[in-house]
Amino acid sequence: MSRVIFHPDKCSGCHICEEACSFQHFGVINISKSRIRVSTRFSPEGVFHEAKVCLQCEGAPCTRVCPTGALQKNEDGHLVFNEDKCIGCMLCAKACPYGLIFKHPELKIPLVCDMCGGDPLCVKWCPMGALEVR
Amino acid sequence: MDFKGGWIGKILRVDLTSGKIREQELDKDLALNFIGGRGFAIKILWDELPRGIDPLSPQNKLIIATGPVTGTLVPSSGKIVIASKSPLTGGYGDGNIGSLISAKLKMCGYDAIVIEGASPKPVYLYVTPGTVELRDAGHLWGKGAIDSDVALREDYGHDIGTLIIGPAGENLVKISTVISEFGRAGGRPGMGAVFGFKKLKAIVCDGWKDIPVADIEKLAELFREAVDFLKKSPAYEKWIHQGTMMTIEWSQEASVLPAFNFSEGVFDGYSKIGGETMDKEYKVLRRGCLFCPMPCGNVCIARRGKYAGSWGELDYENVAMMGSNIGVDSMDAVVKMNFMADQLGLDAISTGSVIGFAMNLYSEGIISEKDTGGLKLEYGNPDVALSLMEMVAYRKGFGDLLAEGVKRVAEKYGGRALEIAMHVKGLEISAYDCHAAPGMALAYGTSPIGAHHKDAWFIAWELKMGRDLISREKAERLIEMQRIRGGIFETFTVCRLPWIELGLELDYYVKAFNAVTGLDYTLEDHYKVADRIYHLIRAFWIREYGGWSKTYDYPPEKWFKDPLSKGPLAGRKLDKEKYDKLLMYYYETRGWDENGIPKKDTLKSYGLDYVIPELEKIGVKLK
Repeated sequence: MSRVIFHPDKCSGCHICEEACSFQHFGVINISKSRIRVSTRFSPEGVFHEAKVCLQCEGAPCTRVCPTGALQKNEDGHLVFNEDKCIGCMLCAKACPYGLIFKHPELKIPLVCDMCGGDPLCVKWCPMGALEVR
Repeated sequence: MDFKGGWIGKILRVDLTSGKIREQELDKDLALNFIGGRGFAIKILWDELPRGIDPLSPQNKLIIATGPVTGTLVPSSGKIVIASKSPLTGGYGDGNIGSLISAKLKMCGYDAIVIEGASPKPVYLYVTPGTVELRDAGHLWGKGAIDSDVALREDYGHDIGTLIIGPAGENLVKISTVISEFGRAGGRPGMGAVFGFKKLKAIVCDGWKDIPVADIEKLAELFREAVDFLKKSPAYEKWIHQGTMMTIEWSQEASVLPAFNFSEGVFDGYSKIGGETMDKEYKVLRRGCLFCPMPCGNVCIARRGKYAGSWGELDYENVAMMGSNIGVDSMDAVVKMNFMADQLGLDAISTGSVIGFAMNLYSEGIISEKDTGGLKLEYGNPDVALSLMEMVAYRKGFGDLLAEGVKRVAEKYGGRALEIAMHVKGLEISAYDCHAAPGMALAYGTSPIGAHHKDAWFIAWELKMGRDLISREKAERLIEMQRIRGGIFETFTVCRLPWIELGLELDYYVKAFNAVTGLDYTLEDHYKVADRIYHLIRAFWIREYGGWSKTYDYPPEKWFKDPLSKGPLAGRKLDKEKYDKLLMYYYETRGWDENGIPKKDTLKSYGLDYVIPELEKIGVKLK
């Protein structure tokens, strides 16, 4: 089962992955609608980059708590989200032990990585090679 | 003409005196004729600032402006402009920062913020779609700009965009700047002090609205082409390793690396503070601004000596000014100084200049330990430089004078001090020595905010044309460069580096602008906007100064008087007659008279008729 792997040493914190994600899924430029979230953080030793993106984990507690079957796994082990079935309860986000499901800023739906059907645009657009499908 | 994207269509107005907040529709003519960023700033300041106000008074206004291309699918489009009447120069001042706040402001629903008045107590402005509030900043006041950013992120999370001042801005230090994201800086002409006077510690934007784009498919296609092009550039690899730091070696080679307060263009210890050394020994992380595929941010850690363990983000201008210009050849010290400048909210370029100037005054015996409170201001001593930084930021002792910038320090001592004060119009010169670069000197001389490279990085073009060439063509080329750097990039608002460093064509930016806005502008249209802005900025200066003299467009006397003593160009200095000749070519090409004042016909042909009575009213004779 593949997922998006993040290499913090290669990342520059440019957020282009987030642009790619919002463009791919919603046809807009809006990084707050991205399913991958990058931030540049401070520590006394310097700054560093961090990314949050779904691990496509095997147990997938998010799918198990979804009351309507809106969130499921496909045969590749990737999450598939069906917006028509979603009632916006956000139990999935609460169930994710890693905090990797975000809330859409305007609609009552979760934002969770579906791997773009296997070929994620964030990975393709990352100029630094900091994202990889593995 | 109507636009279908790019601009949001709203300006946020905040009056800090009354606490009143209102929204204003973006005037369509303002958008079409001034585009954004610097264009918005100068038009609003021209229209709204009464002549002769004190920049550090409630009457001054701060403009925080994006442009139509900001925060879109255009490489390096995460820039925002901060502008005001400058307390450092008394004229128009602006600067830009690459920061998340550029996109986040638009995602809150605004193209720009205009801040008026002054708050009675420290506040920060908090903006989201639907919430605009002035919040108490008592707990942040006095804190460093980096520490304040950390504190705000603890409260609001990591998705916020920020603009913050440090103690220097709070203490009305005239060489203070605005900081974002632990070390991004902008607003050299004292924008930090304008924040500080207004008791505005920070601006926080956290938006989530879409940024409207006329043709998103087309824009995405252009974006992919542009990123492919940039990544295939032969210069890409070195660029992402060293960024602007490679310029240390380049400037040394060309004898334009400032050393000892711009006395020399070469520096013996250049390689110790150069791009190669940084990349091999000091760099630990790449940082890019928002939406930039060619990151030039060099996060470095000091390795040796007493500064070991300190970190800082390095680029050419800062390192040259706080390194060779003050005779310091220790990268470890320069890393520490960079961090301190950002934390204190000091402009690193002007700080390096004012320290270099003080050392120059000391070396020539114009000042002594009596003036400095016992400090021996010898070139090359980073401990002294760090002490001075602290003294400047908190206006302690001798630092209180240096906090006024080199022009005012020079005025205090007069005579020789005036000749060796390295500024134009009060803004300290950024890091290119011009003893043997008359075109670059002219670029600094005519830059619309004073001597900053943003509008003025003519040096590479000049070396190609021939440094000794004095011709009309050279002045014309400079104006073309100003149209691009000071016009297109400052109005869009996007970073110029993909174009100037890796050769992304201007035509690309024109196409991207049209895809974003749905308009059909040509490069010529953008040049016209750029010229309009240059004329209006010039008119602003003339209005504030009560007239104009060509001497205001001169570089400092040192470059005309004291020749270089080192390097392959030893003996060289600028020639005033030749400089005058270039300046006259420049004025003529611009449509300005021999005193540097725009002619009536020039103003009229750019739709700036309203400038004429304003200048005539104060006794300026227009030809």
